[in-house]
Amino acid sequence: MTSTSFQKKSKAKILQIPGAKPSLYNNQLLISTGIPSLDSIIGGGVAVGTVFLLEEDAYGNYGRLMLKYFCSEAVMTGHSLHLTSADRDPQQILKELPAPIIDDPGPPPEDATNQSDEHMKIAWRYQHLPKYQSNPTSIKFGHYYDLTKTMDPDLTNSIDHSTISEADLCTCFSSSTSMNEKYALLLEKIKQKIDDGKFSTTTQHDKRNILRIGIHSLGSPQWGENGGMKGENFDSSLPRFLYGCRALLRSAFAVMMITVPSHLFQPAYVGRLRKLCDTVIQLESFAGSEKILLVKNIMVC
Amino acid sequence: MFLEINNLIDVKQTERLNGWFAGISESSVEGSFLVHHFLSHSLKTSTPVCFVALSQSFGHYNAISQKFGTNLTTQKETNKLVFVEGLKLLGNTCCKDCDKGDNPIDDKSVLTNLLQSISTSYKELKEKNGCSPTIIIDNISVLTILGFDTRDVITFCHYLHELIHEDIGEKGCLVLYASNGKQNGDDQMKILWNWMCHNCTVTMEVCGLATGYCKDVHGEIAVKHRHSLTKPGKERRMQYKLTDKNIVLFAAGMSSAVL
Repeated sequence: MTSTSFQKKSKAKILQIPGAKPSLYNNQLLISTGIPSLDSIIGGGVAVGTVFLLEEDAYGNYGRLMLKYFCSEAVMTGHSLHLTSADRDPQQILKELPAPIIDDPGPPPEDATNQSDEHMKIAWRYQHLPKYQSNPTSIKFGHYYDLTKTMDPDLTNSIDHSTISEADLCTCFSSSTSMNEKYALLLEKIKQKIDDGKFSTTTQHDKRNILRIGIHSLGSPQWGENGGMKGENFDSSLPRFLYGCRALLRSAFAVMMITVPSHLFQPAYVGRLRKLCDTVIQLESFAGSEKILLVKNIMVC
Repeated sequence: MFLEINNLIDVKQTERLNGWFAGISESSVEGSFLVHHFLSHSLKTSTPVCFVALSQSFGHYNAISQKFGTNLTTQKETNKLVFVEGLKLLGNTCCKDCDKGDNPIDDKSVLTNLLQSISTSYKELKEKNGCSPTIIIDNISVLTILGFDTRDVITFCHYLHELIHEDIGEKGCLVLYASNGKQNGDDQMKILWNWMCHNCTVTMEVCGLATGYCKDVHGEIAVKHRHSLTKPGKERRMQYKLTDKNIVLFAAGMSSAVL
């Protein structure tokens, strides 16, 4: 056979990681927030290596709910999960994850294969091919969840997950650092997690997975935050933490979702925090809004 | 490189921006497209560039430059570009802050080191290429946000300004990108921006529309030449729309979607 100079144009190899897909716009690897309609608003999903900032609604209920969706999505896609909360017990949050709605009909019945022989052969060229897709895309991108049911604990335990609670953040060393110790400690733990789990882009790994980092109510009074102020000036601890996270995540297969009670901060300070995050969503619920309710069945806007 | 932006700031496609000190500010919308514009304009006019990235990683800038047809990796290899990964450097100092409680990092020494490394690469680039380089910093406000004293940041900018005017004859170019804090009343940002307005030869202010987000008009850009000896100052204000690889400028209210 003579070989031709024709070669199939192949693009640069795109990593195949379950639960992640390349963006249609710029080939960035995206993962789902757990809410497919939110994914489409923010351009397909959250890009791997970025920080997603969620500004909580007045009572924080919907913010926490969205974080739960994010965690549930980690369970469904088999991603690793690292959850931190100073306000609530993170273990409890994991227990309260919403259950997925499984619309997968499951494997087809056995007798269907026997009958198929008698069928008319239209596409005879394809008869040697397997009848069903050999590797079903069971891990798809973005799932739907049922808030009335909680997720099976066995399912939650099937993924690699770790939590940091208030007790883990109590530090013993002196407060001589320029940065709030709790943030400093958390940043260190995240770094450790990335190193230990080999999520860094520099380490070689046969089976790449994605680390989802969820932080609930960062910057709440539990973190020792005082509305973003330190005396007369802005406290630079939280910006430094976010900046450190960005620097870490840019070279890691990790995504961070942070909920922040931004209504507790000065507007200028919130503006600064927004600058250091890659995707920012602000929630405003009717429950926390002073406006008169016109539409009763819309809960979050 | 956007042709229309060059027309707006009165620069020819092949003109080198010697002696320029351009200040770019943003409020409420992203103005970083101007940073990418200056980066690719400099490289296209074969001016070497010292790029200090404080807000994004190299991959980000490389991906966008490729849309303009410039490969930053090759530019780096051919000594046309020095890329200072400020995000990595400063981010790591943030991480290190937590490691050693007894050895907090001195803010001033961080800025001095950064200045030192910029100065060294500036001189190296100048020697290797035989012409004065451009220094671009994206985004100088990051320093303020990270808690560096505004005075120190201004001193830092002042030294950079001095650096490009060091030699008699051909001068370098400095492009600073900052937030101006007008949107949410950030006083420190305002101070920094006021200093820039006072010293820049040209300022470019990008802001969103007062009426809010619009699909066909992304914002407004105001250009002012402040160096009265070279180009007399009169503010030019245009609205713009960004597309994947280009920008469309039009007078206020003259968007093609409206007409």
